Amino acid sequence: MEKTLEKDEKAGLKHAADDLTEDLETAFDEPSVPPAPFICVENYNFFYGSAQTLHDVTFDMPERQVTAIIGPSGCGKSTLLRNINRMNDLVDGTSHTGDIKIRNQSIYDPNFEVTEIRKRIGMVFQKSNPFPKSIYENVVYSLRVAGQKNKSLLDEAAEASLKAAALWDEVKDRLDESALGLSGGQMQRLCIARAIANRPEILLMDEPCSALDPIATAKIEELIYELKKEFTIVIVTHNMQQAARVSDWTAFFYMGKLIEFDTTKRIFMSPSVKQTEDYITGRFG
Amino acid sequence: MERHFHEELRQLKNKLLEMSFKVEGVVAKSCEALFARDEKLALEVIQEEASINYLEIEIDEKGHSFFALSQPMALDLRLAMMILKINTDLERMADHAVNIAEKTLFLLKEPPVPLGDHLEKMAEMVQKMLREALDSFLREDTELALSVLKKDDEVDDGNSNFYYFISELMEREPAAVNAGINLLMISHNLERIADLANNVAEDVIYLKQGREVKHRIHLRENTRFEASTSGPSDA
Repeated sequence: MEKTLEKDEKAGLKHAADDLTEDLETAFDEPSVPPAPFICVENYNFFYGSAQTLHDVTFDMPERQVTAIIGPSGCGKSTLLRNINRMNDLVDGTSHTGDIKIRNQSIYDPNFEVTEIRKRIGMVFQKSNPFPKSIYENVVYSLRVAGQKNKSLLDEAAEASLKAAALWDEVKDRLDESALGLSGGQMQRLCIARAIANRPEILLMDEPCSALDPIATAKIEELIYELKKEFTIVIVTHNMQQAARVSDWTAFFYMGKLIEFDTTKRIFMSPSVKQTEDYITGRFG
Repeated sequence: MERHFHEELRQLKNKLLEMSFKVEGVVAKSCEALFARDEKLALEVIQEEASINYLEIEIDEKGHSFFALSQPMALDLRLAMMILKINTDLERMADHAVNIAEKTLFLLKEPPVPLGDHLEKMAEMVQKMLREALDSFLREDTELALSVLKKDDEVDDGNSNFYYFISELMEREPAAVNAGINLLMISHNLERIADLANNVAEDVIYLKQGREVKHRIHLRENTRFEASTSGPSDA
């Protein structure tokens, strides 16, 4: 009787241990393939004249998630960001090979107007750049340019965008005042409100907090966390801790090459490439 | 301003509370199995170990991820650190409960020996310390944590008294030596659970007040670590 009991007990424990091993393998093994690719960079090379600044870059950025691009100065992260909305078309002597697709459509497709691309992509820069107009006019600027004249629709868009940018409560009583009277952090949130007023699908952010104090930075970071529910966000940042805090995916670039792209958790906890680990631990760069 | 990672920290704390309920449960069950000579309860304790180990790894993993991605500071930093330390201590307590259950299974095959009342009192005190230590963490109550620390000497005395009681028994009745050795190991397991409950209480004080009370270091002259980098001379 005793032996049977011990045998059953051992069998039970072994069964429990097997279940546990299986659970552990599935619970902590996160997928490293991005879900639903939205922005696809395919074998992309970019040149300023004869100088190549991006080398055969290939990776997919998922929809409604935050992808951070990190790397030392001159690694090509801002160059890539400015290629996504074809801003580098404005620079003389540039050329590219390879492709960038948004929802499977090439941004270089002749049927895809550059103005249409920029309607679908909002952008926020390192230095906030409000127009010398009222707070209200800044937010509705892109809608006015697109021909929208309906006052109630403009009012609605202004309120929705300022609320989404977590600025409404601070400015709702002074919408007609100059945007230049806002604080640095408020100006940057105003620029975010302006960038999303036209309901783009993608929000590109180029060092959006580098000129802000820690509190204003925290507000923008919380805003990014909220905005990803609606927008696909790509953020370039020198601040690795910020990339860790706000992004779901991280791409590490070095000298124009994509060294590693993975979930932010993997990149910051156990990157696959030693170069990535050396950079995020401050051993180089 | 509420940051989104504060919600993650709350979830981490809730996971630790789930762990603490489980561990408190197996400690109580192992004591009941011992004194009621209940084989079924002892086996239940052994089987529950796997789920506690699983939870320990889950909390560790979430905690490491929290440190890497959220860079907590000040109170957030202390709380995240304490959660990971208490997690380890709780898992060790569960190991001791399993040891008690395993030795109980051994004792069930031996003729019963008189236990006196030292061991049972000690088990009650250990469970009280554990419950209060975990309550002090849940409520962040430093007064309760301090009262836990004060009970540790009673458990140590109980352990010594039980040692003498069993030594005399083994001298008197050589047939009781096997059971006696196992009972001494159980007593040691209980004493270790009390030490670990003490650790939890010390961590609660550090969490709330940012001051270290481990090893009674606060009672020494140089209580600030910065003031004594080479360590106290009377250590």
